[in-house]
Amino acid sequence: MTQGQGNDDAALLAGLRAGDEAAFRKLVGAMHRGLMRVAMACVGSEAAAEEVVQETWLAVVGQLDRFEGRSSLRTWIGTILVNRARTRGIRDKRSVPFSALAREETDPVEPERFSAAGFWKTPPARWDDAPEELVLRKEARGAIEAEIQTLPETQRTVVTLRDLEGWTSEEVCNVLGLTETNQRVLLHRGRQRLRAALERYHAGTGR
Amino acid sequence: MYTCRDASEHMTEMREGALSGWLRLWHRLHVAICPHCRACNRQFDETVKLAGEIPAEPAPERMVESALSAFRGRGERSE
Repeated sequence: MTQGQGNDDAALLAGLRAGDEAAFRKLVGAMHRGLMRVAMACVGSEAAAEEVVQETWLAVVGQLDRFEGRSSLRTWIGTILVNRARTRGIRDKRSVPFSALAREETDPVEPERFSAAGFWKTPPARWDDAPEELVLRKEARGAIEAEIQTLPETQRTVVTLRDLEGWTSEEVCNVLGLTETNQRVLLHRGRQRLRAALERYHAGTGR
Repeated sequence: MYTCRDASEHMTEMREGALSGWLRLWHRLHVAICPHCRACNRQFDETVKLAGEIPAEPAPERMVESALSAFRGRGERSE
């Protein structure tokens, strides 16, 4: 947890404990996508994930006074969610630990683009004109978003938390029970897949 | 020898500050002199930047309301 993040958390926590409804609403909104993604990875269905997220918020409210600030607020909330999701997963007979799934999803991306000696056979295109216009950026984002949906579960979760939600590697490792190395490999493989999708998008638009 | 495949594999580690001293140096040198790896590096930057711009769907209102209702209840209990 960084110093800045600690200060932000302290201010937010003080507001929540004082009953600041707007701050709580904002927190629920800001964490929704990340929590849903983690819950989906644990329980499999969207309906079950929504229930887990909802239960998590109720638990957060109930335990707010017990949070001691030893981790970031995000880690604390994420851990509550994972514990609930695990219980739910066991109940639904879907209780494979996230770290076990992670080991199966780290194959290299596009190995055929390198020669046996390790140099580019099919080099990446230069993007001198990364799209600045709003419409093109929106399209490019769409290409990435579509690819995210096709990523293996663990890569998708790590990429969502790190690159879309801005969680730190420490938070992701703590909540998902991953080692730093494993988390980085999953993030890298996911990013490679997104980069390749963006490259295909650029090739299609002739930019 | 530090290859393009190595450089490509280290793109995230470099950004995370997780490469050891020598590897970091090799990576920097390689990307500086190899136009293909420079292009790859740029593609990574652009990908991460665009991913960070993807807007989130709002939380369903019924979920927000249920959480808020518990939150209000907490306030009332502590009064």
